Amino acid sequence: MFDQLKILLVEDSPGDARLIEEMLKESNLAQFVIQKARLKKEAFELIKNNSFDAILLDLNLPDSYGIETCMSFVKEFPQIPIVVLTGNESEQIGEEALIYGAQDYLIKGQVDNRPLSRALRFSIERFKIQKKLKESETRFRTIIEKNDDGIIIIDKQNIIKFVNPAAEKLFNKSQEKLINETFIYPIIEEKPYEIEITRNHHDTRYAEISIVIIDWENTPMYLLTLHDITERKNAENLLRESEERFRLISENSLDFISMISENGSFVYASPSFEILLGYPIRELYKKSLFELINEEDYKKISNWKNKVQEKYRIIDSKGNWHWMEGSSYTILWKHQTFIISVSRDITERISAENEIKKLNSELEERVIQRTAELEAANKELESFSFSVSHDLRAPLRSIDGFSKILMEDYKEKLDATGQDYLNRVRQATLRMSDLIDDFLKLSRITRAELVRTKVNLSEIAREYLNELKNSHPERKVTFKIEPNLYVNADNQLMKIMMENLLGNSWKFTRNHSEAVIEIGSYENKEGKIFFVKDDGAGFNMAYASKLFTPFERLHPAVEYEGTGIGLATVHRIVTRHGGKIWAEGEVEKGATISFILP
Amino acid sequence: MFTKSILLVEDNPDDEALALRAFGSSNFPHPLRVVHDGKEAIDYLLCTGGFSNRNPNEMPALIMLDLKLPKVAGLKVLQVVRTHERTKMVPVVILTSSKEEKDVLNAYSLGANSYIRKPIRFEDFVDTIKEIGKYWLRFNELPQNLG
Repeated sequence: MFDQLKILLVEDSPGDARLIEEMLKESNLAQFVIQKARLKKEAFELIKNNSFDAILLDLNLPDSYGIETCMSFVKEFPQIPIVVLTGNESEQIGEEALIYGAQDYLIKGQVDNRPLSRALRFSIERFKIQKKLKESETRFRTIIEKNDDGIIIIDKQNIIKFVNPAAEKLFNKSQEKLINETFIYPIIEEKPYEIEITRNHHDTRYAEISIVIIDWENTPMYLLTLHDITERKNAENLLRESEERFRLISENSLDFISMISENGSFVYASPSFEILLGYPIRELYKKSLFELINEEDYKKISNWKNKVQEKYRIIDSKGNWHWMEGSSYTILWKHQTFIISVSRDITERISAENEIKKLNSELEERVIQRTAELEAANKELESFSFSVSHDLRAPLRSIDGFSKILMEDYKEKLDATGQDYLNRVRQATLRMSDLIDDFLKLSRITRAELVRTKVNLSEIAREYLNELKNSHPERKVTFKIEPNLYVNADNQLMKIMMENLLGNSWKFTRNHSEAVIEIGSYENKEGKIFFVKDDGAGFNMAYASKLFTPFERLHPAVEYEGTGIGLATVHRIVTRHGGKIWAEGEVEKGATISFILP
Repeated sequence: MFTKSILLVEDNPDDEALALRAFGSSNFPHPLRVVHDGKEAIDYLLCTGGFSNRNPNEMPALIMLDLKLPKVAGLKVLQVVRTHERTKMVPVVILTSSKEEKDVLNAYSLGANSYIRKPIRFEDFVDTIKEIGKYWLRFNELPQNLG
């Protein structure tokens, strides 16, 4: 059986056409089925509507001439092999037609039956093979060009002979630049390896290379497959850096960081444990944390499954206990439960705390002791006061009594001078009696218990001044009393204080025909300041410091009577309330006593 | 029964002398008995010790009692006086040098009838003694029986 081959014969000369048809029909190489066309246009129509195995093409047609004819057919129908027919003189055109894609050419007049059919037959077969080759090449080219991996072929001198687009991309250079350049990276045939491609300062790519030796244009060459592993590498680097960071944190931490399994065995222990416990870390990994923790404390923290903050004791290699404080929590990792614990050594803090506790209790003891001592001192003072009031007064009474008896019973025997002397004795006795009384008053104020209530100083002042005014109606004294001067103080002591202050003002304004006594207050940064002011005798500021000292007097007794205990008493009352008192004055202009009561 | 007499409990001889003079100068018509310490005072009142021969039915109309006394303190004497059936109603005037609030409180809570502080000035002292004597022996009424 012969193959049936459909041939389109494009020939404007009917004689030539018939001749060729006759020749092909006689062929025993194949069964040729021939269709004919006289014009190019006609041929194009036929090809579009039929399928042909080959075209037998005369180049000189009425509507197309010469090599142009060949070119237009090849261009329009690249899928059909073309065999060109030329005239006697046109072997050169035939050669030209081969260049433009014809499969073969035949010269009219020299063709015979057998060569013609063979030429057709071979052209068809060759065209088929060429087509397959072309397809195959396209396939492989596509595989190479579309491959994500870079493919480079270098010769044994490392000169680059071929690169695919992925390689161009990897090196960020066009193939023109790469080809014939030297491949500068190491060549290792045995196994895949990594290279680092620095494209510019900040742009580094990583590739894994595998190498095979191939035969390339009859020369052994290296086929390099470069797999871009930059992303993986970067991820790895990030991971490594992150891991390193965490490792640095953990390894340099003064805290004790550990990861233990549920039975307490160490999975990780930071190096700080080594210093704390005196075990090498590798020894620690053989132990359970739980066997190092004080049994009593372990009970407290045995529910480590929850996030807990606890204090516990841990024993070191020498058998010393360390107080630890830490938090721990449970995590699930690789389908297992682990406990992460971060603790610190608080032994010093605990011992400091204990020290403080001890000091506190010592202090408490000392306070109790002091209080007892103070109480004893107070008792002593009390009995002293009792003794003073009783024992000192009794002789005074005798002195005065017997002086008086002497004056009465021995009246005749004593002259005026003698009488005067005895009077002086009696005066001094009474004065001493006053001093003792005032002294006792002062000591009572020191000892009296403070009972703080809301006290209206204005009221106390008003009452007392009215009393004074009633007992001395002849005096012209104006009172200026700021209303509602409230203090939180002991009512009794406030009374004594105000009476002393106002009594002083009353006394020391006595020699002025008219006087003003003022009680008021003002605020400053220290708080509310109260004052008692008069325009009386005043005092020299040089002696201001003596004012509040018991039994100190700035005025002679003949001018102003008194024991010098009044302001000392006031001072003591104010200081007993935790307050402050001071005095300002000018001779014959007056005095102002100011005080603060907290 | 109460007799119109005074028991003065005073250890200080000066004070005793001054008191006697005060009574004397005021022509005090009633007997004055002086004892010199707390124990003697109790013995006198309860007719014990050196006073076991005293008639227990005679009680002074007033005891002038100092607080600071040898042997038994004045407040203790007061306590004993107020405890005993025969003496419990005898008026007791504390006559002392102290005016300690504590002493005053204790004296009254133990049943003192009055608390007088001995004045230093002799004129005042005399006046005080006279007034006390006058008040308790002339004006003050006591029950007929000792109770």
